[in-house]
Amino acid sequence: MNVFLIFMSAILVNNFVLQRFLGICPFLGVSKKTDTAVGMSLAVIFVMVLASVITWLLNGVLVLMGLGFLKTIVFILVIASLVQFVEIFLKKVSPGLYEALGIFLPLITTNCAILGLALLNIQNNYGLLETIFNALGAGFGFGLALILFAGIREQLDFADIPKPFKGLAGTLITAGILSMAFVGFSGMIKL
Amino acid sequence: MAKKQSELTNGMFSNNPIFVQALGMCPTLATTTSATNGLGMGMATLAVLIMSNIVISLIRKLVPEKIRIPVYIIIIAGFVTMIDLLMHGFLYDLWKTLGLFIPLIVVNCLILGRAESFASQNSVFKSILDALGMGLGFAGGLILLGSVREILGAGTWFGLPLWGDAFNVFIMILPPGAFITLGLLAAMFNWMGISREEKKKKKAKAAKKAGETA
Amino acid sequence: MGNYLKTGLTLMAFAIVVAVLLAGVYTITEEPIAQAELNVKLESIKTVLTDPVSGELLIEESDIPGSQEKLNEKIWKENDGENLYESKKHNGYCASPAYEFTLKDGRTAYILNGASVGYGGYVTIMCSFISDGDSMEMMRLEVLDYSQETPGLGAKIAEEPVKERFFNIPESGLEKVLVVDKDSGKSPAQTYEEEKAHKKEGIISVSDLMTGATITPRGVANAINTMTEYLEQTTGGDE
Repeated sequence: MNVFLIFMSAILVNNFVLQRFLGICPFLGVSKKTDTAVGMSLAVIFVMVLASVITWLLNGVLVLMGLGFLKTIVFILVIASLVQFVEIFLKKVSPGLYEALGIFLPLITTNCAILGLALLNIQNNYGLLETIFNALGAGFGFGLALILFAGIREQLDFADIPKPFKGLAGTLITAGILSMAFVGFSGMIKL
Repeated sequence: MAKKQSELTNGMFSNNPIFVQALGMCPTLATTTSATNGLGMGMATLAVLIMSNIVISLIRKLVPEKIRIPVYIIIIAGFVTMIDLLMHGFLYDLWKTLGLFIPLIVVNCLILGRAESFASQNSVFKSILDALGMGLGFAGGLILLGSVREILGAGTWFGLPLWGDAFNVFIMILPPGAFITLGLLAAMFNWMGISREEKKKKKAKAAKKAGETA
Repeated sequence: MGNYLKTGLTLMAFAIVVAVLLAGVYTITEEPIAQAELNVKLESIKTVLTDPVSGELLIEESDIPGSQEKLNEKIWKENDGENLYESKKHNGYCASPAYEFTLKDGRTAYILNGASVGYGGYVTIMCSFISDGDSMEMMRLEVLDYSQETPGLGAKIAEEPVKERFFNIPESGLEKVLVVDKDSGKSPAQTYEEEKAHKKEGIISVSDLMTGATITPRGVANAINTMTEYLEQTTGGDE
């Protein structure tokens, strides 16, 4: 499969958040303001690409040693370490963003999108180039969904929502409608 | 005895992982295309939750504070891999259906959350109860969501046909259906919580009035 | 420095203990896993070797492989972990190995695994091509992996009524490149007879069952086309 197809597919047709259900926790949690959403997306794209490449290489080693079954443990530890590194880096380079992201930065570790992406790359037998493009597409798709959603929620803050729907419930239904819009992308990519 | 009971029911109702704590959203939305899938995923998560709570509670005095999170992750990932292997060998069809989401149990914030906030500070017995409560609450939520989506989307329940093709809202099986159904269920839980609060307030007010006139 | 070393070593100790335990579970589950995977393969092979019209299994009961060794005896072509063939034209590949069975009536059956791109990724199928020496038809297929297709839409490809639309494609159809009726420009088949006539021209009628999900059956058609290309190259003169 050519890399462009993989890239576009990950963003629109099989959007990681709205179609594959990966990365929901940060999606629901960080999307209150558009600037935090942008910051979070950039951090996620960075971690995704780096994590994908490292885990892809490590998997090659594991398989060679016949230890393929250890990949879940190895992958999650790699991701956890990477996120630590990004945290330290951000604290030095952009303390404002670091403060804004708060608890959500270490939570990138438990973002199923990153581990899910790493595992998908292996499951689909992608080569290194395809892995990188899949990671880029996944990251951009995540960012797209996150930023769109933040924009909507900023508007929603001013609306008068019935009490039971305040909070999680209303957010989920809004996400559902956004997801419906993305279903409309089916059939967009023709061979 | 009452305290022990509340540890169990705490996870199932008042502190339900899905509807109240909003943890484990990813598998909740992804694996509930049918009641059976929800049940399978719920059981797998429950198994990992119990085993990891037990072990983490057992070793809680041995783990240095600084590295406790990586250690918990290693233990949880270990159990998840074990469940993945066992299901691959003995429950092939369910394994194939749940696919990617079995290894993703590792990043289910519920498990790490319980390890960090409960198992690392409580006895083994209490940790088992906590795991049971949270796990059953999680599984219950999954089965509920899976049932609604399956009944409305495919006209079956646990695979048994109810009314066949006569009434199918198949968007229920698609991603938007998952979000919306969970949203509506969350709203329902919310509403039940709110009316319970209002009833309590009314009772307190009435009791106060009665106390005043007495 | 010493403190870091100590914590580092403790962490490693935990990791090693868990890894060792896991290795234990892995050795226990290795066999059941291999058996489960083999069973799935054997079931599919049995299915594609069953005549869809008569329901009869076309090979002798005794010929059904019961183990990996017995299955390996039936290998026709293999390519050591790589694909047997890749088709740029149909965006698909034929996986290794391909099997050969001799039917009860003497004809030869080639079992091929292949895939082409569907909606979200590859759709993997297994096909039985039956040859009597003069001509070859694609008798039956099983959909092995459609995990990237949309549940309720593309995923319907694995349902029996949809699969049946692909059964019994005669050589005349295979020689033309297979297309789904939506891509053929012809109006969809209204009767079973029309469906059969279309198949002779390489047109698969699925648009009524797969409304709004043309990409997935198109992928299946392309997978079959890939296999046909491969077979033309390898059995060349036989046809």
